[in-house]
Amino acid sequence: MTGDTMQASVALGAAGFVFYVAAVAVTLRLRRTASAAFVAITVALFAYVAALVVAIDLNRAVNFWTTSIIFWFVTMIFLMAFGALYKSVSLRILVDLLARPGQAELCSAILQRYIVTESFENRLALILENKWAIPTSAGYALTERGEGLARLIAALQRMFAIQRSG
Amino acid sequence: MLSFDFTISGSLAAAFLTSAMLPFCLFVIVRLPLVVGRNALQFLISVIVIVLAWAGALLFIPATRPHDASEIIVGAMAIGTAVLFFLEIWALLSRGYTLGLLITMHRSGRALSAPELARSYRCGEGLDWIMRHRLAGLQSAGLVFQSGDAIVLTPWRGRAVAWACRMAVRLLALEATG
Repeated sequence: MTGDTMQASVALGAAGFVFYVAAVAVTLRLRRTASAAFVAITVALFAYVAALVVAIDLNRAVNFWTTSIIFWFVTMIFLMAFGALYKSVSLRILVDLLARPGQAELCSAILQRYIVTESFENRLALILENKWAIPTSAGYALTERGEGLARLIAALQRMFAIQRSG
Repeated sequence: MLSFDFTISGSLAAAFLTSAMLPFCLFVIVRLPLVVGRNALQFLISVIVIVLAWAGALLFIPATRPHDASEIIVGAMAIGTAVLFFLEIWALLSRGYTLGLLITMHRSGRALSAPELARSYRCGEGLDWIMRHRLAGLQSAGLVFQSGDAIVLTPWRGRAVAWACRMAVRLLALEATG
């Protein structure tokens, strides 16, 4: 691979990532019902395909592998940070502590607000929304879909000797 | 005009192959008695093993020897991408809150009310475990400290990280759901 090809590939991969971040920020502001995680992943795939389409139209040689790796490496870092901002209980506690007087709060209040009420209820709502479980008179029961997913997760946990999750 | 070059260097091919070995490596390492139950350490050791395997391939297999520094950087980024991809899956499997609730329902074998689900979470440790675990993590990272019965942000690191997170949440219009 020539130096020129390498430069063009790096520039294209990096430009694809910049386009991705801008597109995801705009899409998240415009979205109505789609989940943020779904938006982040779908827009990443779209931005990657867009970068490849641009490469086809370029008048310079571009290495497919280098462009793809540059794009996906930074995009994966972004997605890791995005996932933490979106779902991490720890970061949620930190951000909310910042807004409290003296940046302090009672342990019992944190437990009640984030763990027992908000996080637990949000997760339960997500489980119901995805039809993994349904409310019955006896409590929440797994649907066939939920049972299938739980079996798959349990099998993966067994395979990798993960005894407990959460 | 199609301007794609699909040429793959030996060092990058070696990076792809060693990256693909990560789940197999993890499969073996999780069974070592010294690291049983220590999910983060198991993953870290697996990553070190594949990085060493890649470095060994670059040093001792002539066909994978890099021609310049850029090939090493791109190869390292390929491994980094794979590590981040598997880390996402590993984190979900070992720390996923929602999946933990699903597994709890699956293991109970019957319908559970919300309080029962909360009590049975993580093999009966309950939701309090999440609080203890997450706060212990924040404390060991120097982001919060305990003062009596209260949790307080540390003056510099804690406030800086919390502020950066708040800015990022606003920038991305993310209503944090924690």
